Amino acid sequence: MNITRTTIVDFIRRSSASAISLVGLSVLIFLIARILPGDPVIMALGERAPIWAIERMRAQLHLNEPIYMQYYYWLRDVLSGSLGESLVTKREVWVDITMYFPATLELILWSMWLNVLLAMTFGLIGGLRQNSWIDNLLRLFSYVGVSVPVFAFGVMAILLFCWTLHVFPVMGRLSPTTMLPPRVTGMYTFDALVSGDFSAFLDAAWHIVLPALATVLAGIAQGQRVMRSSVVENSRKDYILHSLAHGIPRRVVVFKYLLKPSIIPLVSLTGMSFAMALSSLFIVESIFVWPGFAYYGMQSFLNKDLNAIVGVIMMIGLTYAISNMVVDYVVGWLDPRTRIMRRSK
Amino acid sequence: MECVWNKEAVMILSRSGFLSKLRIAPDREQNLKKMWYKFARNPLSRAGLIISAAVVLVAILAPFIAPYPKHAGYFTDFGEQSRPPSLEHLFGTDNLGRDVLSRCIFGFRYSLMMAAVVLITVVPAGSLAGVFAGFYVGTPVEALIMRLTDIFLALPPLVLAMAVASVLEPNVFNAMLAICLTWWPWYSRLVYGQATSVKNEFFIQSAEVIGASSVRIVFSEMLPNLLSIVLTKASLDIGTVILIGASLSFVGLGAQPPTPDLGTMVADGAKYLPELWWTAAFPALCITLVILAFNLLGDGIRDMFATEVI
Repeated sequence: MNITRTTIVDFIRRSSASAISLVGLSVLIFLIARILPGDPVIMALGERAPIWAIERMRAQLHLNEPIYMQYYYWLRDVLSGSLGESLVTKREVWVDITMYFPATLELILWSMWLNVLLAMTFGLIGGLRQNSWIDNLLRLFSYVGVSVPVFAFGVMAILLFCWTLHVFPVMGRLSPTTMLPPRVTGMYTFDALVSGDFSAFLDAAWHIVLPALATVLAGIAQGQRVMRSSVVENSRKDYILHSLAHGIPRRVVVFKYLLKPSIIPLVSLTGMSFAMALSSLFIVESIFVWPGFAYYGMQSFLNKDLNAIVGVIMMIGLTYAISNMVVDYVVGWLDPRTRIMRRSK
Repeated sequence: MECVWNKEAVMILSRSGFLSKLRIAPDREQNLKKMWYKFARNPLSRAGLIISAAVVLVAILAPFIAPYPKHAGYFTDFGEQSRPPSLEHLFGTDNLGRDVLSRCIFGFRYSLMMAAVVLITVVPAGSLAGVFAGFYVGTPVEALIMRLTDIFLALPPLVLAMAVASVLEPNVFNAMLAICLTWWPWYSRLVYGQATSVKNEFFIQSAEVIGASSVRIVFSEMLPNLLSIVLTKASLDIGTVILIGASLSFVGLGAQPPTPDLGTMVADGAKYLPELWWTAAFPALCITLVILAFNLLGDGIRDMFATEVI
């Protein structure tokens, strides 16, 4: 994509729109988090804390001041790079998030990779072999996959694969017997590869398969359906028939000419499945005891940990906004038509 | 060329409700038959209709159908504790001796109630916000509503629902409240998009020229034209709302024990996993069945109205 003035203007307009939404989101979450019935200070210090300690902490957190002043203090801290202190872990929320983030990043990278790969493969197979038994099977999977809740799939998968068949580990990121790979990024599979410890890589990858599948099951099912219909649609187009009539091998036609236009709807759907994956993570990480960012978020939700809730929500909002923009640009790069349409708007 | 013009004219006339007044519209029965044909030609839609109707019926008649209706509430029977599935207890009994099948049947009630309450609240509210924003394009009303919508859409729905539910007391009512808060913007955005395009149609312009009030234009000219798309979206959403409600219960932010909610039951059962597998597996299957049925039904309704909803 060549960078022109319009693309830059477009980029600035879109990112400022997202920024405004994020500021609005922070106000919303702040309001919600501060009108909660339980007293966060008593939650943090315990029922029998002395009055002076409670008062001191209230003053520290500015809880005695009106809510707009509280928001002002929070915003000032955020702009100077601090999300406040977690009431439960007593660490900076920012430190907590960076500590828990790599595990989640690893999980989500694997999930999205699996999502695109499996949806593409299943959709391509279904679309090329329309109405065959395998197509019907895949379609059945797509209906069930969209409908099965993440927690139901997680529990059933643990029951079937871990407890009954013993093929996957039940929880965690590594087996207790495996040495922790030296920390580079905090993503075990990546670190293990970098340090050349192949058995640790296999072990970490083995642990990640089920959680990753649970995270994106719905995304795979939906993506597969979209991919199938676009393959069906495109394979009837004149240029495909023409290339086949010319005697170009079917394999070449499929992978060179059919795949690229067919994958565009799948890519634009990936943004949506990323959003679904972000919410699924909260449940997946709880089920599989995956010590990630969403696990931390879930704990902060359940403990009413104010600063952590706001921090987690803002991080999710930011990730969501960035992913939406990235998907739009990738689609624009793959499909010039949408680019022009957007510009002419 | 003439044919095209005629088609357009008929479309404009029929959308303005003019044709039905002239009694040249195809009669109602014919229309219903056609819609039923569109719905029923897909066997999956029929299956969805049958299963979801059965689920609704079972939920309504739960006290009469459930083999042990008392087991839905506070009940313990340690003599019958943790029995695997048998003829007496088809789905087994849980760690407190309650019949899992009976609790699943009562669980349908909570799932359906969740979907019904949320959609009945959210669909009119969101659609109204959207149609007003669409009518007042380019005014502060539109800016206010749509920016608010953007804010609520800046988070994935389940995350926002969990955040809202987490700061409230965990119970069924607050879970519904949380889902309502996260769900209305989808309707306002959908309806807004449609309303802005409908607004440029001739019949709206002519209504304006005649001097119809804005309330009249919104309610009797614009809304009827948006109805099919809103209904389609609503029917597609039944399954999703049930799913989100069950997820909230699963993480402990929704219905609390001993409420027989399917999500709560799966969470409870998961604690005793390898041994009491039936206490988790059957509620999980039940919730999947309900969602699947309503998703298939929604797909059928979408085919019926032939509208594309995102």
